[in-house]
Formats: sequence, structure tokens, C-alpha cells
Amino acid sequence: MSIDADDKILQDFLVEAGEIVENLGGQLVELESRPGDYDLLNAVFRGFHTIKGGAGFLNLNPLVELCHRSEDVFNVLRQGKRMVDPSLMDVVLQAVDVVNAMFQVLRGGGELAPVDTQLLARLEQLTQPVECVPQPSTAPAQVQSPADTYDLTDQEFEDLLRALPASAPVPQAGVAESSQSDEITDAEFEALLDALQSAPLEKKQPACVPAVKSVSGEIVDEPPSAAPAPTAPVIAENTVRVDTRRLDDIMNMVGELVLVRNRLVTLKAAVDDEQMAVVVANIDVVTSNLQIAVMKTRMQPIKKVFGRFPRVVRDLARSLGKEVVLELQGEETDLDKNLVEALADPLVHLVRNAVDHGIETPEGRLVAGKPGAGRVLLAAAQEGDHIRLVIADDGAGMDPEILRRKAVEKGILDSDAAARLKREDCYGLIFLPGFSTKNDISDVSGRGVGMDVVKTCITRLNGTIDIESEPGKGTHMIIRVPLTLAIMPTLMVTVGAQVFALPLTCVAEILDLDLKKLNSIDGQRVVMVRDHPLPLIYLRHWLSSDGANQPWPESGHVVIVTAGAQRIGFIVDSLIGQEEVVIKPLGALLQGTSGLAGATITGNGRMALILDVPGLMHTYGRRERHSEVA
Amino acid sequence: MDKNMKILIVDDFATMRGIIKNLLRDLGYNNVVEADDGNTALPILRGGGIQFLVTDWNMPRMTGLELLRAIRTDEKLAKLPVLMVTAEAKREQIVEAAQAGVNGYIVKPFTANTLREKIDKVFERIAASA
Repeated sequence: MSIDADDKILQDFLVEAGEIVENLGGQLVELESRPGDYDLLNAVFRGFHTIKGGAGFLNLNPLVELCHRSEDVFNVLRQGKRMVDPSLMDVVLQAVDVVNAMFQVLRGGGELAPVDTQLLARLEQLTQPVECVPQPSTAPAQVQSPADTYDLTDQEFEDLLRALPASAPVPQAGVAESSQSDEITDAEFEALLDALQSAPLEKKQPACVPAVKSVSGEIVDEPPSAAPAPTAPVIAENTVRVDTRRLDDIMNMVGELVLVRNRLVTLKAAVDDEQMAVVVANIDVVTSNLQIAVMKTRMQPIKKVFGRFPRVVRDLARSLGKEVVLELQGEETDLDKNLVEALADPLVHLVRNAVDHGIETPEGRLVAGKPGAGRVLLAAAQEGDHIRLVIADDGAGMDPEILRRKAVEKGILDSDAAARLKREDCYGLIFLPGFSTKNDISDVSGRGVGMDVVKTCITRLNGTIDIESEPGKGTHMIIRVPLTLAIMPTLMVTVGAQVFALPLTCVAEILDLDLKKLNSIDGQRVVMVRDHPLPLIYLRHWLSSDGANQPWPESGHVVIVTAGAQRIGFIVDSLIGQEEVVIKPLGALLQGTSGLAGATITGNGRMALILDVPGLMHTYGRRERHSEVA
Repeated sequence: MDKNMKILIVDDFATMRGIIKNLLRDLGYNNVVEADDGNTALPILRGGGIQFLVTDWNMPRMTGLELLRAIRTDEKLAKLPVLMVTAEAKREQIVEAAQAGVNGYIVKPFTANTLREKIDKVFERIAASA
């Protein structure tokens, strides 16, 4: 095989076998609760077996060796000659970890180091049957350790073939000679075939198996026809693997098409032509369908991420001395491939948090009148154009009072501001940088760097995260992310002379307000909305070059946006309406400008900047405070 | 050997199908179709036109051996040459396969040369018995 082909095969192998390794982790954890499940044992066996087979062709000998030993262990297990126990699982899980590490090395283009001989030796020990059920017919071969067996030679195989029809009653010379081994040679095989195929010629061969008779019978009775039968409709392979970069390109082009479609739809309104209107309406529908179809090609089940959690939870619970049952729901929920990848880290963090900080120790739980084993739920479901993910635990929950006190202690809020925080807003505090509720920092999840990173990740995906918690009952984290990243529904507004797009995920509601009655709290202008103070920002102050000196308008459209636990009113000069936009990254010079997520072309051909609401609040909110204080 | 004969590769592991396909291509066989297990292979085989089958042994749902048995009981497919790909040459297994009517077996991993030898042997035997 050429080097190119080899490399391509290696890449394919890494992807496909990588999926098998991922599944193995989950299957092994499952095995702990259902140790005798034959199908599961068989699935694990086949997993190692398949990886071994592929690795053999790629000369990945350490991988072959490790998988071979692991496969042997599961062969013994599935034959019921040994039972699954925790110490066995520890060794096997360690083997899977090493396999995973090897995949990492291979992905990085590295060379595999030999496997730790101790691990191999321990796996080897596990292939020794514990209770040997007497099985007279097969026992001798099976008790043999792998080292004693050798592969059949061609000659042996030929002999075997020759010997076969009479195999049971008449032991033939060739067979007798090699029967010491449980592996066949090529020679024996050929002999076996000779025998099998010549036998039916004599028509009466009582020892012959029916299947064989029909085979060779056909060969003899009919002349060999090389011509294939007229081709009936062949069911072709119905899947192909496509490089995701190609899908990205297609998605990008569909994005452009959506922009042109939006332009056309706007133009149609200006041109009074019925035929044109029909064509444009058609294009509109087709483009929407195309967009959905392309989006679907990029979908992957979230199982890909969920699959790693049983292992994460098991290991963590073990190391913390806790008992945790993980429940997964909605693993088949599909979402954009990029999202699946981007969600992996935040989810791992939240699940680890739930086990580490949420679930109490078994003793603590019993004292609180709960079952000793905690429960963590990880659920996914599609909700319209969003995916809703829930990470729930039935642990200790969070106490708003403690959170308030912490915020004051850390100097994040003064005591008045803290006291004014609503209960839900208190939970939002944990997403602030530098906020950690545990005094003793564990090495598991509480370094105080996690939650704000989680929050940033989710926001970057145009998603939101909400917390519901009840002390003593547990905590629910609810994440909502859009199905796709490339196309975003927005609210178009104008500020000064410019058009801006606000991601619709951030927009809570739109109000027309009389702005003459403004109050001021903490140096921040607020208006009372349904008895709650809503901080107001005149966007023009932030976003126009001449904005700083503009007076506050007397009435205006207020777009209420949510950013994390905060709600803020943005005063805009006018509202244009909802529009689906394709996000185009900003040019190199503007890349990273805080408060801007990108740019897009509107239906009437103008450029609009897409606002990044959390980023905007982060940058300008601080500046506002400072200037007003000074 | 007819380099244009239509070959069906059956393996649940796509990478393995790719490997075998590449090896066959190195030997000059380009007319190759694939199936991911016995259940999808059978309709293709019954559709006709396949002149040589290379199947893996250990597959979920329908194993290579079960596929072989199904083929041998099907009148139209009974004499289709079948090469079985296995991980090891366990006597018990191979004898079982031979009794079920396999034409050859090959142990993973193998080179293009070994594959050529195996294919040659299968077709020599068929030519001799014809």
C-alpha cells in the first residue's frame, strides 16, 4: 500500500476505532452493574477484537498486544470461566486508558511506546479461569494458555481438509500429527477441502454434513458459469464519510445563499411583479429547506459526549468515597458537530461539580434522610430551534445567603447590593471570575477558575445557562444552545445611523417606555418594570462615535436583554425587526473587538454588526460604572 | 485471474474494508463493493453479479459463518467463492468453516502477497474441480 493510502487508513482507523474506544468506556462501567450480561461481554470482546484487527495491519504492535490480552480476558469472561469483579475492572479500565493514550499519541503523529509489561502480566493473569467448569470435549484446548497455541500452517490446513469428511470416525495421519495444536495449517485446510469436495462425487457419504453436500453438489452438477446473473437492483452502501471541512464549506455557501435570499425577499417587496413574487417565494422555501438539510448533515447525537460520563462519574465518585448513580436521558438528541465538541468541556466540568460539590457523602446523605447513593441526571432534548441540556443532582443544593456573604467577602459586591439580589441572581454569582464557594479547594473541580470559563463557553455558543437550586434538595443547571452556530436569528435595531443585530437568544422582551421617570440606584439609571428595577443603557452612548454626549431620549424602545443572571434594558433609536443572519467573522484588524460577535449583510444590502451582549456588558458596563463614580 | 471480477467485502469495521480494498487494488482488482455485515451483504449477493466474497468472521448481528451458511443454502449463490478473514487460525473454527463450505481463509493481518496467494489457491481449486 502506498504511504498516502496508509496515512488515510490510519486516519480512518483513528476515527472509527476511536469511537469504539469511547464506547468501551461506557460499556465497561455498565458491566459493573450487569456483570453477567453476555451481550455486553461479547460487545466489549468484539471492541478489543476489532481494534486489534485494524492495528495489526497498521503495524501498531503495542496496541495489538494490549488489545489481544484484553480480548483474551473477555473471551474467558464471556465463556463464564471467570466473573467480573472490581479488581478485574480496575485492570481492564487501566488497559482502556492506555489504549486511549495510544490513540492520543497516534493522533499527534507520534510513535507508540511498548506497553508496560506489568499491565500485560496482570491482564494475562486475568485470563486464567477461576472456577473451571469441567468440559471434557473442549477443556484441553481452552485451558492452554495463549502462549501454547500456534497458528495452523498451510500444510496442516490442507491435511485437515483432506481428513474432514471422515474426521470423526477415522483419524487420518495428517490430522493425528498436528492435532496437538488447536490451530489449523494451510495444508490441513487444503486437504480438508479436497476431502469435502471429492466426497459428494461418490454420492453416498454418510458422514457428510448436508451443507457441504449442497455446495459441492452444485459445483459438480452445473457447469461453472463465469457470467454474472443479470444485475438486479443492488442495494448500495447507504452511508459515506465526508471530511467535515467540506461540510463547513457547504454550510458557508448556504449561508451566502441565505443572504442573497434575504436580499431578494426585500427587493420583491419593492418590485410589483407577480411572476417575480412567485419565483422569489419559491427560492425562499427551497433555500430554507436546503439550509435545514445541510444543517442535518452536520448533526451528531450528543451520545458522543454523554458516553464519557459514566466513566468520569464512576472514577470521581470512587476517589471521593461517594456513591453516585448517573442517569442519562436523550442521548440520541442530534446537534451540530461543532456544538457537540464545544459542549464537551463545559459539561464535564458541570458534571464533576455536581458529583464533587453537589452530592454529599453517603453518611451525610443518610443523616439528611436521603438514600446513600446520590443521583446525577444528564439530559438532552430538542426544544424548537434549541437544545436544552440539564445537569441535575439531588445533593446539598446552594444557599443564596451563603452566596451573598461570599460575594461580599470577596469584594465582588457591597452588602447593600448583595442584599438586593434576587434569589435566582444569587446563583448567577458562581459564574463570576474568582468566585468559589468552597474554602478548601479540592483538586477535583474547585479551583475557582471553572464556572466562569463554563459560562464563557456557553455564551460563545450563543447559549444560556440557568441555575435552579434548593438547599437540601439539589441543583439543576439548565443549558440552552442553538442547534447550529452558523445561522442566527437576530433582532435588528438602529442606533444612531447604524444597524445592529442583537442575537435573539439574548432578547427577553421589547417595551416602549416613557423615559422621563428614571430613577438612579448605585449610580445606575433604572426604570421600574413590573415592580422590579431594570438598569437602562442608552446604546448610543456605547456604540456611536458621537454617542457620549447625546442626551437621554424622552421615550424610546427598550430591548430587555438577559446576560447570565442579569437583565438589562438597552434603549435603541428604532426597531427594524427579526432577521435570520449568517455570521461572518470580522476582518483581521477588528478581530477580537469586545462586544462584537461578527458582521452580516442585511436584507437591504447593508452591513450590520452583530452585538455580543455578554461581551458588551463586560467591557462597557465596567467603564460606565467608573465614569459615573468619578 | 480475471482482474475485473466483482468482489464484495463484508466487514463491520469500515477501516478494515478500506484496508482490504486497498490491498485488492494493489493486486489489480478494482471492481469492489462493500457491505457492513451479513444482513446487508445478503441482498447485495442475491442481487447478483458478485463473483468473489471476502468476509470477516467476527461481526455483530450476522457472523461471517452464518453468512456463509446462508449463501450455501441459496441455490444461486451456492458456488460463490468465499474467502473468510479471521483473527486466528483456530482448528475448530476453520474446520467448521470448511464444513460450511468456505473456499479459503486468511489470518489478519496479511500482506497483499498473502492475499494474492490465497485468492490464487481458491480459484485454482475451483478450476480443478470444474
